[in-house]
Amino acid sequence: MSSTEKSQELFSELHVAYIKNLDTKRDDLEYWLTEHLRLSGVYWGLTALDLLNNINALDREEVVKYVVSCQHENGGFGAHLRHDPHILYTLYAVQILVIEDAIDAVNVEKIVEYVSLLQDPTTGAFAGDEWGEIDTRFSYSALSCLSLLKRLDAVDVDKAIDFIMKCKNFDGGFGSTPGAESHAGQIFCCVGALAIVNSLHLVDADLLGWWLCERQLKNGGLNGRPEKLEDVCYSWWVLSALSILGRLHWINKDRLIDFVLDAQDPESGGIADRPGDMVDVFHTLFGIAGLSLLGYPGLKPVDPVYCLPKHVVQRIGLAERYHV
Amino acid sequence: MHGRKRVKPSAEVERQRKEKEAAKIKEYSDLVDACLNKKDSKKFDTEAFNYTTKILSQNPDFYTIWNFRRNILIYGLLKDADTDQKQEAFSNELVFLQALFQLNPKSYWIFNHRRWSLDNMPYPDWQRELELVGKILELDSRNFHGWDYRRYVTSKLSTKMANTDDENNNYSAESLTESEFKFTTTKINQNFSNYSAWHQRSKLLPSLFQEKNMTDAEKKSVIDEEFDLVKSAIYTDPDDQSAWLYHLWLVGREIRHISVLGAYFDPRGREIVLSFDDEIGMLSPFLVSQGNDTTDNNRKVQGNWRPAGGIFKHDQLNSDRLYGFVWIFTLTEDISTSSTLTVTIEPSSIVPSHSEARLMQTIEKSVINILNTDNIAMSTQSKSVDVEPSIVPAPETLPAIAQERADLLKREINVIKELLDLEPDRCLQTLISLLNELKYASLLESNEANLLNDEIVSYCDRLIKIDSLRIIRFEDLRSKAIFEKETASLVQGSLEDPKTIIYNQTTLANFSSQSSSLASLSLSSKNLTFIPTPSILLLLSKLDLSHNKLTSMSFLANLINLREVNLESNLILRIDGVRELRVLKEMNLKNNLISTFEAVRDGLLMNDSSSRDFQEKLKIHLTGNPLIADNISTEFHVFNDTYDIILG
Repeated sequence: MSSTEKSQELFSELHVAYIKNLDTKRDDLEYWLTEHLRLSGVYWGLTALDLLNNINALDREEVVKYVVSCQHENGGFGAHLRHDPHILYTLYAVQILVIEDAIDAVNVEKIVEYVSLLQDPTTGAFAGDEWGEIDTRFSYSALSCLSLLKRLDAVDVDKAIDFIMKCKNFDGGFGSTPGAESHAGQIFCCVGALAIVNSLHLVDADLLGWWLCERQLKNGGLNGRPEKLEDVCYSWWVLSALSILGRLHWINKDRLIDFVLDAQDPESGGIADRPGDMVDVFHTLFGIAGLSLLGYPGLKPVDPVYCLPKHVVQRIGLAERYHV
Repeated sequence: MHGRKRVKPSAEVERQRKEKEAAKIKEYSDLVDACLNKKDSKKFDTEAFNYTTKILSQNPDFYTIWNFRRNILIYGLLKDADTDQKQEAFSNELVFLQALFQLNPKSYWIFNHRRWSLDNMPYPDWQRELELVGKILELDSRNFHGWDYRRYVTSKLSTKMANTDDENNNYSAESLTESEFKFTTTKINQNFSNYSAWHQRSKLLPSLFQEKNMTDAEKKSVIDEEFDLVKSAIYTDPDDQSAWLYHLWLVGREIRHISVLGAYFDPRGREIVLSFDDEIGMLSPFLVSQGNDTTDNNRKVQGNWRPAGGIFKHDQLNSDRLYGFVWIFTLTEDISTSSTLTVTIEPSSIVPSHSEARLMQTIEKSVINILNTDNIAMSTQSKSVDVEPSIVPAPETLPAIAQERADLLKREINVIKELLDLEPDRCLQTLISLLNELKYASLLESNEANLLNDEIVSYCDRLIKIDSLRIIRFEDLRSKAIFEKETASLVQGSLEDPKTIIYNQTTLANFSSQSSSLASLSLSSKNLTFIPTPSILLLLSKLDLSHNKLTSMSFLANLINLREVNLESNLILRIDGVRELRVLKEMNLKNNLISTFEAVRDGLLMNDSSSRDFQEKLKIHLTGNPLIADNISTEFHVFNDTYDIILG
């Protein structure tokens, strides 16, 4: 898209329609090949809809019924019916149920048990599932999930913090495992997890804030690592971390807003990774959530730690754990 | 969906595509159904295995199918297999994975399954895996899955080497750390912008020092080579961040000291006020006792701690920790006058707010004695909350002696200054960091510190013109330097430890004799975007902050002795931080950005309005704000008892 035909505004109605229609694309092969993103897709879509003041565009009863159907005997949730349980989908399920105020529809105690069994008692790390993959994404998922369920007591929080701090790097950022390179997505997970367990004092806000604001490129977009391409999803990963650290003002907000708006599909709705690309619901949420953090008018405020609408986090009585 | 161009095919093209896809969809979903049926009925047979191969070839992110495939191997195909059969089966897995990897170089699940296969293989060939990952990083030298995998492979190799007899060890001439270090050199020389390789180097360098048990001189020569490498990288590609960030890491950052600026007892409110030069959280209440006995014979004094402007809730100690620069202890019992109050700060009861540079590992116990009289009394002895000097994040790479460190910083400052014309943006940012380090590294006379601060301010001014994306960060950096310079007259280096600061004699004298002349300070027109250390201003009665760029006034909560404050012509959006300022009489907020009634009301109303004990009304000037005076002036009547609000 050239600068002359710049998108001036957020096409809220188109995005609502786009999200509503996601489940009507069963004649696309893509729909079937992305089954492992179905439950995540519901979370991305529902959160985006709520931020767009249109939560009722998805039928609450159907959403809750679907989420419940993804839960397994052991308490964990799979990506879709018949898919294996995994901590990522367990968090998505809890997030959806919290948004819909329907946590009572599932057995919470079983979820707590599932999540707590994934912690390695020696290192404090969390595995994604029974196969044992370790990643700080799973530390965030576990702590966020238990915090939303008010059951952080079920795991060893100090050990969980120890593991996250082992993933800290020379640039102040965090990687997926000890030794791994800093990446904006992992930084969101680690900073968010530390915020949840009240340990932001372990983050060097000035150094990391600098690294994060250096993610903004001349076109206004943000990348996730030095010398990489910009991508709308980093409007969330980078921005939420900056916001948690109280340094959101260190980037140029107007230029980023323009970049995200340019990545919209002005005909069929949805937001892409960058201007001119195919849209998807993942980038649609993170574009909208980013705009919400930037104070774009007409959107509900989003909580940077939980990536949920702020009113939801307030309703369940969780404190704001970041610098305003 | 990353990097796929948006196309809007015609209706006809769409129809044809869907027609074509219909058959594929049928085939694929039948296949998935058949496979999941096998899974549900726990049929771990060859047919099921072939299903997984077909599905994963099309869709390697279908993690459930990978899980099933592993179970088929464990509980089915390899259940009674001998070593050779297992070796063959897992070798086949590796071949299958390699083919999939070509099409999907960034799938987590492919790498996962590879690790699992190798971990279960009787004779894994780690050397071959190392060569393979070398090729992966040739295809894409920034693939973080590739780098993660490389670390996994080398950790396996080093375990193997540790367990192998020396005679059979092919690698003994050169350690794995050394060869991996060389690998990063190769990668960096191929492309100086390879941030992944620089990162990897930051992990290997400390291990190398440790492994080789290097002397300080040997380390120094290795680090000097690192500085040379960084310099050639900067000359080749000055705009690239990788080398600059590595440079900053090589230089290191010194842990800052948190100081107790001072403490006093205020008999009117029966409060002890304790002031730090950084925000701290209190993990457990500091002990307050009566008597100046250094043994444990002092009597504990009852009362409660809270940060200025905050309400301390004991039941939330663990979940919602409060932070503050200024902490207030309210006595809940009567004590005899003219005795000494002692505050004891245990290292374990304090936590810094959020900067790694302030992390305290070895705080000494700090004792503060305050003479309790009928008048406000300052502490007789203010000992710093001390830390052992140490450097983060890589102490083993840096000179421990202060003078050596100062020399290193000065050398690097000169090196960077020579590059200034090449790439002003990065150079200036690095210079600011180096100058800030220099301020803490050497025990500077205040005029020297002022010169460094002036230099920092001038670099920030230039950056603000160059880098339009990060203007406010540079304004914040500038504010820090300006604030430090402009408030230098209020504090001095502590005699016990010159790296910590305390209120100086003039400040204290002005404060204790406040009836005669008001202790005041003007910071008008200084381009301040925020107040970095409000506690330095604690003892002031009068403060002029007019014509700055402040967006928030919440820092005022710390300035509990303020009588008059001028915030005219700033960018303040809402009233904040004044609810507990008991002696504040006049506040000028003319020409700010306060636009709603709520932005005024929420900052003024007490949670429990009856507890408000203003001696006189607080006069607030709001002229020149976007508030629409006509509509809401009547609403301000609710404040008439405690506030005198002037709208225009």
